Amino acid sequence: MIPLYYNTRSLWARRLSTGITVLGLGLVVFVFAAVLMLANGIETALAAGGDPRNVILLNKGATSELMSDVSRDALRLVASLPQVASSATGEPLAAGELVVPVPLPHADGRESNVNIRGIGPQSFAIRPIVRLVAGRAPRTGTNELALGSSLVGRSPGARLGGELSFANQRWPVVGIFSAEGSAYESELWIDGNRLGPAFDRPVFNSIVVRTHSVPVRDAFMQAVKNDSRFTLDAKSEPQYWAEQATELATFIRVLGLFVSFIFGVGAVLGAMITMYAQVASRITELGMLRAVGFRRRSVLASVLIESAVLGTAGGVLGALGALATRWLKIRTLNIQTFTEVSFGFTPTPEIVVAALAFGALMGTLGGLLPALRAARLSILETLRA
Amino acid sequence: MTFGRLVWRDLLRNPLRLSLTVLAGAVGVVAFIFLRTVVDFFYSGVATAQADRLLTRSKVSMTSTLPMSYLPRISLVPGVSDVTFYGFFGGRQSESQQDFFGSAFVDIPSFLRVFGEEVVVPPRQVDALNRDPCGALIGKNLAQRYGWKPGDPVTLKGTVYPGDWTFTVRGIYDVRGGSMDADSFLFGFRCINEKLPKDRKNRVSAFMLRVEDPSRSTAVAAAVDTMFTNSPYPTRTESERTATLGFISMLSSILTAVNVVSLVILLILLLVIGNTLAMGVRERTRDLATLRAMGFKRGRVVTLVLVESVAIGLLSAALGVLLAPSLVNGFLSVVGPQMGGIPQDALREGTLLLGALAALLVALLAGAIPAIQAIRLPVAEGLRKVA
Repeated sequence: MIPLYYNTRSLWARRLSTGITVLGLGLVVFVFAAVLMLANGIETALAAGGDPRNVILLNKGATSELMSDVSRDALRLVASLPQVASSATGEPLAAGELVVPVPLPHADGRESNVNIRGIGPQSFAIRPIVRLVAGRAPRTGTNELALGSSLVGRSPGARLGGELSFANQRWPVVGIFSAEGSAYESELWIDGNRLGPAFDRPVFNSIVVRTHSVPVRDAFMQAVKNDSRFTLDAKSEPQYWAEQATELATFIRVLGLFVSFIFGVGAVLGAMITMYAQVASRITELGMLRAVGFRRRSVLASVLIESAVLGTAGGVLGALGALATRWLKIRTLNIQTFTEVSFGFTPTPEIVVAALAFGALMGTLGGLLPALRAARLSILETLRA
Repeated sequence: MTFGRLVWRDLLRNPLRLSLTVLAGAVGVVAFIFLRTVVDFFYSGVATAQADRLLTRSKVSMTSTLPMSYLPRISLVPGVSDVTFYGFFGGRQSESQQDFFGSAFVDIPSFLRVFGEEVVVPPRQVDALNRDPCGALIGKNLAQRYGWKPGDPVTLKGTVYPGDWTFTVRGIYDVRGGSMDADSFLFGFRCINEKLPKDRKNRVSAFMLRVEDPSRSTAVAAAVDTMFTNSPYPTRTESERTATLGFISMLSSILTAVNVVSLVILLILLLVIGNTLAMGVRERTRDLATLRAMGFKRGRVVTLVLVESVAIGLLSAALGVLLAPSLVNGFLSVVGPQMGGIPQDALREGTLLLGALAALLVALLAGAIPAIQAIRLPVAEGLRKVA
């Protein structure tokens, strides 16, 4: 084996060319990792809204709360099922909820759609992750609203003690809640009995139920599906939220991976150019190595290792760059729910490993042909060059 | 040896490296064109939005509906020449995401009057549509995707309007320019209106208005909205263009990301071409010094290196522009249906030109550093140097 030191030293000897190649590979890995982190961020943000004990009931065939209609009678029937957990005061933990997307004007004149959730008395108790961080919960029978923490300051009046106006009415902000980074943080919560008439909605969009435990939840979902009184689909909350993320996450992933692939081809070509040049300029050196007894396959391995090192260095650079995007927050329209979602770049160990592997793979692929060429040189030829 | 011949010789000095560089350059050009097309796709609605068409929706919420009784009142507003409407139906062919397409109910005669310039339907099919209240008018792409022909029954599961709804395909439309895509499923509103419960009957998602004088569309929009300000269902009227821009602004962070990535591509391109040229110049230090010793001016040597880089840029641009259309269109036809239909002319000639220009510019920039390198070294030292 030719010692690794030989390769690192020769890479270092051509700092400029090595640096440029590593930077190029690094940029490709950066885009690759950032895209995966972004898609993951959307899924994490939306999945965070799901509590495994909770079940969301929609009208059969509806794919999101927005598209679903659930009659008010259904709530009473569902709440009476034995699997439904009870609150401290003995009320069944079930809530009929309304969802209305409204345009929220920003301070800069643009606007974005946000969801208003018309809640029931048990809505807060059903979702333990939703916690008031300031003020209090809106009282039943009033126009009071609680603001998701990611909306604070987004609109004039979007602050504790402020006031928002829509549907020809005024809605004072009495509380601010956090929800562990989930989609609820981009919502406004208002008493459903006030929201329904204001938006002319006689029915619920969904019913949310908290069951005793996960096994009980499955029994509950089965019971609802089998009950001929309902035309409802039951989904666990984590599953529902995961589905709401698919379209946007898939769009970002497909676009990003397609681009990364094209980039990757370009970067492999770049690495190939560098490695061919390395081989060409070291022909005599390589011949020397062969003359002192190194085998063809040692030369092959040496060149391959050298380009793999190049690729791995690019991978490390790109992965570090991508990790630095953690501090960025992105808000965009979820094309599935038509409302704004706020999410970040969320790294996982798998993504970091994939990024490093991608870099190393590009380096190795780029080095393959030059390495073959180096190994095939005849000793005589090289010493004469 | 002429100057041109000198460049030619230098280019072909290392044919393998040249072809790798050009290939890498072409890959970058394709990626750049691809991303520009994705951005164009989102903005395509803006570019083709008709200046004389307005959209009246509920001011309250995107999902709120408006009563159909607004139609005659809107049509009486001075300046409005025609009105039609649509109702978002949200029907599904199956649960699969792959089977997504837009569906809506419309009033076929007035719809074709307002959109007649962009939506093309054979006259005999129009007659058939007018006779059958449950006749469906479907986009050409949709017909192709499912092999539907006039006379075929199609059953959709309603999500907004629960139940199974059966329609008969009566017409297949093609699009000509404009913002319409050929992926929609449209049918007459009477087909479902009669079967709806009282509180949902006679309600629509939006009205589309045509104005006589596009320069007065702001005033017409204001007149429509003022009329309904104090009604239970206030409206919001915008030009098609403004409505599309509002939608795009909500997606702006994704578009920003795509734009950033396009810049990254150019940066990578810069690095690849720059690296190749730098290598070439390093290897030729002696040759270049010899040229200088023979009396070539510094400017001449700089031109030599820059002409070489422009040649690489040109070759990459040519190859990239040649490869881009089939690759980009292939990709769009795969993801298009999920993204709600891709307009026919998503890939524009302007985008190809932009890609080519970007490659040239990048190549020129990439040549700058090696060119400076080539003249900075004193001639005597260059002659002494062993590459």
